Amino acid sequence: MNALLTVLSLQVSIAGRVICTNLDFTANPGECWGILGINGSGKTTLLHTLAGLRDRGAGEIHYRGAAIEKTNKLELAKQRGILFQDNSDPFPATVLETVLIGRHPYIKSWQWETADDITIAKNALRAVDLDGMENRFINTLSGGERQRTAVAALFAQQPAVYLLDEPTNHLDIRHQIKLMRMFEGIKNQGNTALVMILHDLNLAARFCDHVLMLFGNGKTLCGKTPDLLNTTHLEELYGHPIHCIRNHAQTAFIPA
Amino acid sequence: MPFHPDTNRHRKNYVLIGLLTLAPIAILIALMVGSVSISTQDVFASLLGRQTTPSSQIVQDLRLPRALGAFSCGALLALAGVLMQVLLRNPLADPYVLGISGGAAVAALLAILAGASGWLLTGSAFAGSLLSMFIVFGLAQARGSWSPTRLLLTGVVVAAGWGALVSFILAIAPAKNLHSMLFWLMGDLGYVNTVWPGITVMTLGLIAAMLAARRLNILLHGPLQANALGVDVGKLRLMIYLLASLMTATAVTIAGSIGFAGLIVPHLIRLLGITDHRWLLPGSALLGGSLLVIADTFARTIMAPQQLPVGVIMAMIGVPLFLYLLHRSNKPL
Repeated sequence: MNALLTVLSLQVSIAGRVICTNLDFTANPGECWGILGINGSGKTTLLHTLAGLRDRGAGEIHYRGAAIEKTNKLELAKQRGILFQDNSDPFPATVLETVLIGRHPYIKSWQWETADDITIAKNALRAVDLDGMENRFINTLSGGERQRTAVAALFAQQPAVYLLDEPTNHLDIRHQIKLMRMFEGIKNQGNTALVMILHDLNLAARFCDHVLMLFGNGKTLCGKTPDLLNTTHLEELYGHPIHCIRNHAQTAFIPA
Repeated sequence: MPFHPDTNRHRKNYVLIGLLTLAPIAILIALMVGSVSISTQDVFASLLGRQTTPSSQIVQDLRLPRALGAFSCGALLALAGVLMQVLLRNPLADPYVLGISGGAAVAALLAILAGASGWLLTGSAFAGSLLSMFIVFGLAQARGSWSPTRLLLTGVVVAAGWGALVSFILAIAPAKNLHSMLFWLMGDLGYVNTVWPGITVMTLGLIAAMLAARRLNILLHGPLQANALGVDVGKLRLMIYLLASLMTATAVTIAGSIGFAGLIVPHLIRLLGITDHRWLLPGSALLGGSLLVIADTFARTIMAPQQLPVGVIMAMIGVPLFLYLLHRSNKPL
């Protein structure tokens, strides 16, 4: 199998604090990785490092076998896309314009978006239930609509690896499940993998086949969800007692 | 419901066509009115062929250079305003926020104090603005990296320093120089001696900015987002900084510091529903140019033969226009 994202002996630290050392993992096509950890354990920093947006301490990151530092920025933007935790917009822009920025890696610098790019953007908006909102200004949207606009921009980018920082942020339950199912659909189409930071253990249990736990002290655990997602690990991870309730096909974790 | 999709689809075209119509009308009126009124036919006649009639000389030697100078200056300020607002990701940013006009003002006032005029005066203003630009950028990146916040703070503090120097020069200057100094500070198009530097920088600057326009749309969503989409943020920001500084320096050299145009014109275009920089940039250039031509026409006619500072008229037109659009409903800001 051709690995989409390969991480070798990665060390990441921020402000002198080590987030992970010797982290190794491989995200293959069709896999969904969940990154779990308490606030401040360095989940976002790790995700930004994986995206190549900040320097790493040591180790290697490869997308489709190509080292990240040897990949051209535009080519990298076709390999991985990232959904940020918050979107700040000091200036107005329309929803369609915001989604079209996802097409940047595919358009030559002097060219404008083609009709195909606009179709891709409109399909992405339809996928997140925002069709008909193309000409709304993003600063008039609700938090959830703004989040779905950012997701649509990521869909328009069509990367191989989706790096998602709390994708269900600001979303109601219906849209949380809908969005996770949509990502699941993308993942199942084949040539994509997902790496997402989640705070909701139940979404992780339901949608992630692999998890990566950041303990905040440099210790990490990664592997298959059934092996790792149990009360023993979770209680150590969050420092809080957790109950596990099994009911039919679903497993639910609730804080005690 | 803000901006119904169907009405918004052609909005960009309507606004741009409107502005493309406004610009020549503003220039035509500027050529017609003044101490001597000249008819439309005479204006066209003197534009088309070299004639020796007095009205033709007024149009060709006085009013046309002044109108084109005003247009390029307004367009440059508006373009620099758009670029500075993207660079600093701050809606309050304007071409002068980083102290470029302050440096130009100190140099120009010193030149006036030394009795200089004409090329020497404009040359010092240009040198002063470039000096300020290098001081600000040099200090902002003293420790290797520079962020918009660091650049903004450095620029604002340097601008305050220039402001103090301007007050100092005004305080010690002999009374005979004060009038021309104040006019320079408030913006005056009477100094236009050649139109080509302004027109050239405006044209090349607009082309350069248009080539970066799609990346400006992305940078507006933040440096991380731009980086993630494959934009070389460091290079783009440096390019914006240099371009905006050069355009501001040129505008200040043409007409002194004309406040307001660079701040409000980009917002006026945004308030008309245009947020894509590929339309915002040409729209701002056209509106900034036209507004300054109109303001200058008022400045030299309403109290003729007394001339008023064009910056004052610009604010008198711009403030109500801006407030009206801002307080309309269905606004993107």
